[in-house]
Amino acid sequence: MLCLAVMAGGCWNVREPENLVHVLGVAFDLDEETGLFKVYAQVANPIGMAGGGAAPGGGGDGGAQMKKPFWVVSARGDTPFGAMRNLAPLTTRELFWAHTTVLVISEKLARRGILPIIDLFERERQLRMIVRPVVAEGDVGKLMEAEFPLESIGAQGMARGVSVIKFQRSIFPVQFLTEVVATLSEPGREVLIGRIEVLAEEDPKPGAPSQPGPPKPPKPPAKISGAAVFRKDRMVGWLTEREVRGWHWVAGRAFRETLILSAPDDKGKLLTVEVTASSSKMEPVVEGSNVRMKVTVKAEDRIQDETAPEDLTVESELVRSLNRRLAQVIRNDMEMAIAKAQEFRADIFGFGYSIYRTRYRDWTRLKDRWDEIFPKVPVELDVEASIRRTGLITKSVTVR
Amino acid sequence: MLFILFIMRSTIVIAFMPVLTTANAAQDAWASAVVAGVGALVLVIVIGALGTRFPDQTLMEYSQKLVGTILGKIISLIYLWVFLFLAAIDLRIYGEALITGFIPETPLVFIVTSMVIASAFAAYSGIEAIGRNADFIFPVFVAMIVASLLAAIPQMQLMRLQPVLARGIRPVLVGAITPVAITLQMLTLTLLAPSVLQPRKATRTAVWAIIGASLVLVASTVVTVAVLGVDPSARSVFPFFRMVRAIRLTEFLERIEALAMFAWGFGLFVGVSTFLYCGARGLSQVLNLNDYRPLIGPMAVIWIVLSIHGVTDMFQLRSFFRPEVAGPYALLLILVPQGILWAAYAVRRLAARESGGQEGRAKP
Repeated sequence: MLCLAVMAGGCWNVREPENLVHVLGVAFDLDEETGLFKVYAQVANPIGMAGGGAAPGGGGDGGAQMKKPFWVVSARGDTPFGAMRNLAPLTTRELFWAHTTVLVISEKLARRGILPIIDLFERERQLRMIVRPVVAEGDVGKLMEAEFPLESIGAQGMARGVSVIKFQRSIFPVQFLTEVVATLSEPGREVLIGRIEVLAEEDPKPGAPSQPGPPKPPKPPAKISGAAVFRKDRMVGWLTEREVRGWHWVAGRAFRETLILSAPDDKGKLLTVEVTASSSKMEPVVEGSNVRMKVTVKAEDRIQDETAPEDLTVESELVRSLNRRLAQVIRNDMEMAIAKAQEFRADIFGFGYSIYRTRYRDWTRLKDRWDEIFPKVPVELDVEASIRRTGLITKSVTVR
Repeated sequence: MLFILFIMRSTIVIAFMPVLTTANAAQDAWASAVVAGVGALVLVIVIGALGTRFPDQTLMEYSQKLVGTILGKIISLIYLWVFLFLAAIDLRIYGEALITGFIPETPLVFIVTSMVIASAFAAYSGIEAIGRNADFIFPVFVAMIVASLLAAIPQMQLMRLQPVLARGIRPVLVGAITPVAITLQMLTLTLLAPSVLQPRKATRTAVWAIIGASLVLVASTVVTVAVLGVDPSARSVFPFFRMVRAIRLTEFLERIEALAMFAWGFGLFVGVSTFLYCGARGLSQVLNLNDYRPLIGPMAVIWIVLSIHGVTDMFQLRSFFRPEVAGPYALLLILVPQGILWAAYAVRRLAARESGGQEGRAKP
């Protein structure tokens, strides 16, 4: 017993916290020359964190910089996990992956196939399926090194950015990796992963180092918008902001989105409405090998601003006209998204999945040809948009 | 006793979720769970009903009376083997889950040994201690499972359960085989029943335990599939555990899988101590010993060894739980001995009636 008690105290998995560092974001890229996987790990820097607000210590060389709160290290390997382990010789502490919040996949790798990454995330216990996946457009290394103005740690910034965007816009599919995996495995449904676009920096003028004067305010290093379309596990192309918005309508996932309408009376003047709720219903109509889809979308909105002074006090033809215009805007978005998806031959809306779910017999007949059927499926759109609220005022100030 | 049986059954079926992982019932796994519940009920009634004919005797005792000393002892030994085997498998699965999910470098033997030692203490203190433990653990156990399920609700997508029963009933039935096979556990009923206050009600209690455990299984299956999707859950080694891992209530309330593991450990403790107690008690009666306690030590050691060396790796463990292996194996072990006993009981009863004597139960 005594023996056991002693052993219980010092368990086999003993890890001194000071020997660990937390990886907060991980990125995978494909090394073109060698064809190897390249991994970037963004690690929380314990020294940088500790020194947070304080000025650099009195001693030492005056030019010594504060250590960044995070550090990015990268390595190559034949497999994703191999690459991760190849980081070990480059780091002084053991990397601990359980707190990874964001998974960045480079466009190159996404086009080659994300299955190896998915398998690793499903299998390895430290990595979790509740990371936020993104596909990076641009240089992944630069994205991982980027400092986000409001964040101390880049990866946390990205993870936050890609989840809070849903409270303002519907231009980025907000999801966890769990959902990507489920979608991959479901028949008649393709994956959509949000995009992070690395923004170009202004080149500092050569020959003019460290100018005196106030430092320039930092620019946002990346833009969260759009999405990568996948067919099976391979990326086939990008969707623009508007197309992703169209996808949100079809999927009934639009939470908040800003739409701009031209005011009916005053030509050239615009007004803005914000969607506050939306839902959609997808109904497949199968007749023999003819498939049609009916998509019904309902959206509720409120007025956010008016550049044309309209009177929206009471029910009027004006309000009904605005509702119709709004529905048309939504319909246009959806048509754009559907056209693009059909062009890519990627059923990101899950039309096939809806047949599989509700008409299993038909699906067993259609499934082998779905790739050919989907691009030609006609989609009937039925959009009902209604402006419910006008905000805190009824009309703009009357200027006299 | 309700609690003991309930915990025993829920622990293993939820941990491994055989309805999902052993067959391709896929989104209809919940239906498998229902079928399995019914199957288990039938078996437990078969097992329990004979016991109620001999309310104050264990199976080891009445089997010897029914079919003679030697055959009775053989049957008893078969059952003892079942206890030994099941507890070893339970332990192993738990150990594997811990090693896979949490502490990959701790030797398996350490996890198993610590669990067996704890259980051995409980078994040594007798059935009452185990029962009290179960009383205490039950609310915690249920609360943790319910908490895990509730926490998962926001992430559920019920459309993942569709299409319902599209591929016919066959996969559903195949999926039910392994969980029915695990009803082997309920053989402990034959040893527990004489110890409770009202042995005649033992079967009814067991029936409730099965119903309760089946409900839990159905709910967990539905939630797991709706959260993870069909294919990811079917490919998981421990689907429930994986579902809990995917829960993220808010920014700071995530990664609550320790809860599920905790519940599992508790449940396993109750299960193993019951098996240990029943094994030791049964063996003492087969060997005509007065006290079962001296047997616990050696048996615990055998248990540890078996759970570590009985199965070499996860591949073997999973192979055993294939329906075509576990199904016949379990049915053979439950139905054949039970069949012999029932037949013997019927024959004796008839004989007793013909001789115009007393009731078969009283004069075996």
